[in-house]
Order: sequence, then structure tokens, then C-alpha cells
Amino acid sequence: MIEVERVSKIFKIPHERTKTLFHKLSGVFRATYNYEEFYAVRDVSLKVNQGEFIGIIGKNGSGKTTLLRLISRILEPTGGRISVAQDIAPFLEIGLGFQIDFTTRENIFINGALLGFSRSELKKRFDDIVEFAGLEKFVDTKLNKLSAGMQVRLAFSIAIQSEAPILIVDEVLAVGDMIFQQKCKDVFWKYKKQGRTVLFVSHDMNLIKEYCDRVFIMHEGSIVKEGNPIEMVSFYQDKFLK
Amino acid sequence: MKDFKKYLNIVREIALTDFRLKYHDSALGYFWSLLNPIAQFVVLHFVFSYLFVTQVPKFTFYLLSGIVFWSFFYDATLSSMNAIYAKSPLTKRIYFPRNLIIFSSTLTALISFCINTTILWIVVIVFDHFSLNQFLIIIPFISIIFLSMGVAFIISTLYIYFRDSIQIWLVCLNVGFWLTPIVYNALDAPLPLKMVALLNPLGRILIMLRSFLVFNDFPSIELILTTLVFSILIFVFGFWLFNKHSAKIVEYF
Repeated sequence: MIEVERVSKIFKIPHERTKTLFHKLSGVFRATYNYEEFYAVRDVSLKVNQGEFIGIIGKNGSGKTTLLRLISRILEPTGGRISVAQDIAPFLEIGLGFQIDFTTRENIFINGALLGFSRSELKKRFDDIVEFAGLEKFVDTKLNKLSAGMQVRLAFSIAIQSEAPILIVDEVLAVGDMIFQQKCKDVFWKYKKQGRTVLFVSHDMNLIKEYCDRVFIMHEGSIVKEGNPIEMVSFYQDKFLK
Repeated sequence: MKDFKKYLNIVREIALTDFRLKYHDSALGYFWSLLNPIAQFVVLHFVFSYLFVTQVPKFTFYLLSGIVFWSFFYDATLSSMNAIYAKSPLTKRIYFPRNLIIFSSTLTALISFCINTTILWIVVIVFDHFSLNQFLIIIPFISIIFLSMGVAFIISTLYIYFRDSIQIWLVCLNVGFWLTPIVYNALDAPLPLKMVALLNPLGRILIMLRSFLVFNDFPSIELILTTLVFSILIFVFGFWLFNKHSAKIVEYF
């Protein structure tokens, strides 16, 4: 169960680049430290019950990813309260936390550890991960030699090993070929059957209609509407995509 | 408890991979990491044995032990700072306590430090003497780990907000090398330097180290306790400070 109560996230956008102590000090003397406040997420409240497959739709820059990052504790909210009762496995943007100067094998072990697996558990699952990603030939290749598609496949293969009850999935299917997309879809059906909670962001309205139980529409940082997927998708397409 | 095990596992995986990456890719591997401290040792040994002749007894072992401990402090603090940036692909995409980054980069430096300290001890035993007092080097050893981590936490917190803190820290390390009694004896130094060298926690750690390892005597209990307690306090303060600000890492990197 996820509860988000009146959560906001403000990013400060400096007008001047003051990333160094030197600049900051000279800025103090000239008294010109200006910044603009930007609400990435504004006063959002939502409740997700266990076992729900939730879709979040909205244009680029509407705050979807920031909201997911707040729920996954990667960012701290500026205001409001978030409570998450169970473990979360976030799968945000392309890739988990990959370090491109490490090999496929090393990245599997580091990311596996971050998802809470011990070394011995990972050794058992290692072949499955590599096979699902279709990277048998690239186990000891450094990640910067792999294509973007390969990296996404690898990230997804590791992420689905997680047994966390809550999964956060942000734009996974945008990259990857047909065969991989089908694999992903199979995994989503499995999650639905297992009754796991999924927060799903996608621009693919067919996927949203196919999987989600409930959909939120985000616009300029706020949730403007929530409801059943078919209504929300047609509302979104009428109001925002024209 | 389950979390603790998970965190331990994360630290181990990151530290070991970093360690492998650092040395595995070069043919001479680990030896390269020793090249810099060895060169430093040879140069300083030459300068202070022939040009400005030092009065410090057993200067070879005195200098070698100083350089081994200093190198750990140098590596641990600098690599922790770098890791804040280097590990941003991880911090951006998944939550874990951000202090694990500092713990793992210190662990990477600690692996080399353990090997180097063992080599140092063997050198002293083979070429000089062995005594039971030498087992007490565990006290300065532990003190410097706490001190380095504490300092790493503090300067890494600064680095979150200010990108030039790395350059500033490099300057501090350069000056710090000479404010710490590594090549000279604090007690022989002129007064202002003597004060700095004796108040500097790193200097006190080195005084302990040399007493146990090289000179086979026992420093005052007061020196041992104050240094150990001070190092732990720095660690606690740094840990608290870093945790207070670590949520900002994702926003600033």
C-alpha cells in the first residue's frame, strides 16, 4: 500500500551557475544569488492499494518520473508525506544503476546487491538473467560496448528477478525490439496474476488500457484526473494531445 | 537486521568491483598502486639522508610507516569524494543509504592499506626487530580508519554543494603532508610546527604507530585515548553531517 499526501517537490533553478565555492563566495560579495523555484510535483495526493496495476500518463515534463522517484525514496519531497508499507523495486528510465566501465557480470552483481540479493542467490539466478536479456556472448564485455537496447534488456532482466511486492516501471518498452516487448508483456501478466502492485508510466496508450486497473493523468506537476483506463485515455487524448 | 545484511552486501560488491577495476586492467596490477608511495619514499629518503641530514633515529622505518599510513588517508578521503560523482548512475535510479558509497570507497582503500601495513610490518621484522608491542599497531590502525572516514564524510558533504572542493582538498592534502610529522619528528620541530604536528590527529596517530612499531616503547595512555576518542568523534560527526545532506546528492549530480 502506498499513500502520498499533499506531496510537492520544488527544484531550484539557478539563474547563474554557482556550482563552485569560488562562485558562491564571489556571489555573496555581489549579492546576486538568484534562482527560480520550479514545481516538478505540486500538491499530489494518491492512494494505491495492494495488487493494483496503476498507470500514470502525461506529457513529457509533467512530473511523472519525479513522482516515481519520490515514491522510491530517491528524492526527498519538499513538502507532504509519503508512506510505503513494503519493499520497492524501482526500474526507472533506461537501465538500473549501470556503471558503463564495468562488465555485464559485475553490473549484475552490483545491481543484484542493490535489489537485496546475496551473492549466492545471484549465482543461482545468473544464467536466467543473462538468458532473458539474450546476452550470453557478452557476459564479460564492458557495458559501454553494448548497445542501448542491450543495456535496457539487461536492466529489465535483473529488475524482474526482484521479489519486491511493489514495482515501479518507467518507460521500459519504449526501447527494445518486438521479441523483447513480448517478453516484457508476459512478465507483466505474471505480476498481475501474482497480485503485485505496479506503478506503470508509459506513452503507449494501448498498454495502459491493456494492463491498468486505474489511471492518473498528470499535468504540470499535478494530478488532474483519475479513473478507469478507457475513460482516462480518451480524456487525455482529447484534452492534451490536440 | 535483514537490511544490515543487504547493506553489507552492497558495500562489499561495490568495493570489490572498484578494487578489481583499479588494478586488474593494468599488467602489473597491484604493483602500480605501490609505485607512487615507493617513489615518494625513495625521493624523501634520499633528500633527508644526504641533503638535509635528519636526526630521526631509524629514519628508514620511520619514513616508510609514515608514508603507508598517510597514503591510506589520502586514498580514502579523495576516492570517497570522487565516488559521490562516480556512483551517481546508482544513486539516481535506486534508493539505498547514500553513506554506503563512502563506506565502500573506504573499504577499497582499506584493502590496499591492509596489504601495505602487512608488508611494512614484515620489513620492520626482517630488517630491524620484532616485539610484542608491535601487535598494538592495531590501535593507530583503527584510529586512522575512523579518522579518514570521518573526514571523508565531511568533505564529501561539501562536495555535494561545491564542485571545486576536490581541488581545494588536494591543496589541503599537499599542505597537510608537511603539517603532519611524516618526514620529521614532531618533538624536534620549531614551536609553531611542533604545536600543529602534535595537535593534528593524524600526527598523533603516527606518533603512536612509530612508538609501537619502530621504537618499541609505549606512548602515554593519555595520547592513546585522546587520539582514539577524537577519531571516533570525527567519524560520528561526519556520519551525522553526511546523512543530513545526502538526499541532495541526486539533485546536485
